[in-house]
Amino acid sequence: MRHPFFSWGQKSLFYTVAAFCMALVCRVQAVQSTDSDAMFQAANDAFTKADYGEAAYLFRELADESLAPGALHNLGNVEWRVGRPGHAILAWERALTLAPTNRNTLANLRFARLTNQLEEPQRPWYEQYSLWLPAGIWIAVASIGLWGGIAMLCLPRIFQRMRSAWSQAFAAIALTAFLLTLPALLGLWKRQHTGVVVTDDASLLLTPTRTGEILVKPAAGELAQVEKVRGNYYYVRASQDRAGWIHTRDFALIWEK
Amino acid sequence: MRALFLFLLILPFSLTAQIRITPFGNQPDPLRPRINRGSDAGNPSAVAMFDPATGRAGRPVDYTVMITSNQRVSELPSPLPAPEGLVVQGDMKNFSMQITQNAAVQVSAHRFTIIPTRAGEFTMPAFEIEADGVKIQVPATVLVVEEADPNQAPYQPVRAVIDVEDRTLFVGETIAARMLIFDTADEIPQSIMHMAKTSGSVIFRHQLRASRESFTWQGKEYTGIVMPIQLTPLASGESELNAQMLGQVQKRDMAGRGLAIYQANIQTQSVRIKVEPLPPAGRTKSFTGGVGDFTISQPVLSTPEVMVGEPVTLTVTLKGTGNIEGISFPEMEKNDDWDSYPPTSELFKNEIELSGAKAFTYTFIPKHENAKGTPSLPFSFFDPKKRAYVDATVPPVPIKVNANPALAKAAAEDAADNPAASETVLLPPDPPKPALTGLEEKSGRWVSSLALPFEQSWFLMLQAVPPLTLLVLWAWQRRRRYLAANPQVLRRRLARRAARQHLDKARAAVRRGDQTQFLNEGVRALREAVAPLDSTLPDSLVAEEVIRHFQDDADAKEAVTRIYEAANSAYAPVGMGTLQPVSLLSSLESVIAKLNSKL
Repeated sequence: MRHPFFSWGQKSLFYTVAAFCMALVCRVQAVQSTDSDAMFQAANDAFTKADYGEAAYLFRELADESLAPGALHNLGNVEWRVGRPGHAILAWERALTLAPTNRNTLANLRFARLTNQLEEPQRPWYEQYSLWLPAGIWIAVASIGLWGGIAMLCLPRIFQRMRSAWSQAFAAIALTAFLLTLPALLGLWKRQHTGVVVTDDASLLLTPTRTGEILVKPAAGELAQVEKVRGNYYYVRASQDRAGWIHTRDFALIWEK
Repeated sequence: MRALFLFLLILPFSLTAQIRITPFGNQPDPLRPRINRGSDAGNPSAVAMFDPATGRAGRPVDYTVMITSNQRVSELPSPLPAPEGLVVQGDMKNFSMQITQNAAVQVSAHRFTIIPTRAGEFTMPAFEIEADGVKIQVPATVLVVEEADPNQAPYQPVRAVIDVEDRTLFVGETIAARMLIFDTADEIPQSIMHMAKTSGSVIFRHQLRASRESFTWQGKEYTGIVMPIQLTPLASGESELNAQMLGQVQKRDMAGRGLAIYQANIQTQSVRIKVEPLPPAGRTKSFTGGVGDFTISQPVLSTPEVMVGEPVTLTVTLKGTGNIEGISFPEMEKNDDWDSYPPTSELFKNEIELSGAKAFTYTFIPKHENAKGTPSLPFSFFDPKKRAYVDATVPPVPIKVNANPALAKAAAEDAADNPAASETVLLPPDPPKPALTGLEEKSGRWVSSLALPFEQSWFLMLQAVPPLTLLVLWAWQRRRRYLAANPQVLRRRLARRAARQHLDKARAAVRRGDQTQFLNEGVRALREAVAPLDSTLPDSLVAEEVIRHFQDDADAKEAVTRIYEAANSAYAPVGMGTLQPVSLLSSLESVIAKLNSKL
């Protein structure tokens, strides 16, 4: 029986190419992750032996190459041990972007903020909503929901067939899923401008210059939203509407570009 | 003529430049300073002068000593050796550099205010000073003092008053008032340095940040210094207020010019105020001394829900005008539902402003879950305008009190161990403090970057794939439907392709010299090209059916006839030698092109 859309030959070619690409990608990822896993294990061993300097070095090297939620969590622990609370909170916040429900990372952030007397970030509801799933899942669900729903509505018309009940049900589910992801996408969009004050002697300045008047000195680990960028300075807004220019060496975006 | 005109134009200016106009003729100007120079022979030197040189009894004149030297001379003999009849005040110093004979020298000027007490001729004697390490002489200077003018007003020193609202005050009431220091014709107050002394049964608050300005007092405009003050009467009855200040005052000479600035004691005129005691009628226990006009803002609870034994704070803010600094909120009495601690307070007010706010924070601990609201906070104050007490009691604030399981369990255990202490209320245990968690043993899935794909080109390209795919599918299906509805389009396309292929084979046969193959392929090309026009199969077409399509074209008709005849004669050896395939090929190509144009 002939396939209504594609011939058997076309289908075979498509599946072969797709399988080959998948295999290639998996192979490349497997080689990369093997190296990273070995380094991760070495860093964990150094930490266990209380060699925090070596562990910090290895975890930072690892973070420069590739990122994983467990590695970022452990990097935060090491940074905390070596007395860099700003970098520790940055690492844990980054770990949460990949695994937003990791209870250990959440507990560490609570601990760090309580110890350093930092305010818990007050996020609007759509940003809280976006924390339920990793960003990649939200984006994938939104893409599949939108285009899957549109395809299910359009394909029967293109092929001049009656819309079946299952295709209509799939379209409804897919488009609903897409609509449900919209607040999360807005939350992700807003959250990608969030950063962390990483140094202890950071200052919010009146002007984006080296000699700018100091307005306020935020604590290491405080979160702030980037509103503008000029040269080596971000214009950030911290809690209680404390705003000013901060040097890029004192501040790091969680969702690095 | 032009020269005469220019001469007349310049003449007045030249005369003005040469004639010195003196209003006193040949007599010396009495107001012109009389300058006596000391030694002129080289540095250092000193001069002294009275300004004006002729004064009046009781009126100040300026006495200036100027020393020209290499170094500053900051000290003169104190007091100056003034003759009897001259009172010396102040020593205003001024130092400057001057260029004299191509050399920079220091000029030290000392200004004194001299007040002659009687008429006569006074000589300020010469005296010695030390400049640049050598002794030099300040020359003697003469001041002529005339009798005071009987028509002129007496000397007016600065005067000051306390400007208080003209009404009956109440004990404990804090009111805003002003200290006014007036300019006079003879003296100008410059600043107030110190409030030396006040009298009267009042608390006197002031701020030395006074300003010179124009102000209205008793319906008239004045200029001088205005200093805001606050007064709080302490006792009832009539009270006389006055104050002494230490200030800087500048005297004026007869021409109204400012002389040296000196420190002066300024005494205010006495002002009487009438103070009444607070009425006993209407005073309750909730009155804690507040006198003024106040309002209480909405009380704020630290949490809307609390467990038994847990503390909750209630903040009440008092705003308004009056003695807000001294007001306190009453402590709570014993309550069956709540334990309470004495309230703490925080003042939000400028030192000299009368209005402000004060926040009182109570800490309550619910004893049981039946408590439905915080205890009411009785408070009242006295309003001087209404002359009555105002009740501003804070009503109970609703709060939800939940049972505390830990507390109940502990109380039960304690009661079991020690029945006598069963009524003791235990505080809840401290919540566990968070701690750093351990390491993650697994790394999780590795990614190359945390950056969101929103702004990346690959993401946008990926998002373009589904709509493009749908678009291509739609176009493909549309084309399919068109071809299904118009099969002749496909048939003509196939006919053109088949005719082209057979023509190519015929050309190849010509190049090889294969005459039979050429003729066969030529006929097939003609048949394939004509078949769609006749709606029939190509192999069934004969020469007449092909020629029928060239009725008006004799050349094409002849060419088709020749090809078909040659092809038919290929099976009979006779006549084969006369056939020229090359000449037939061009005819064949021409006919096929004409047929293609018809397809």
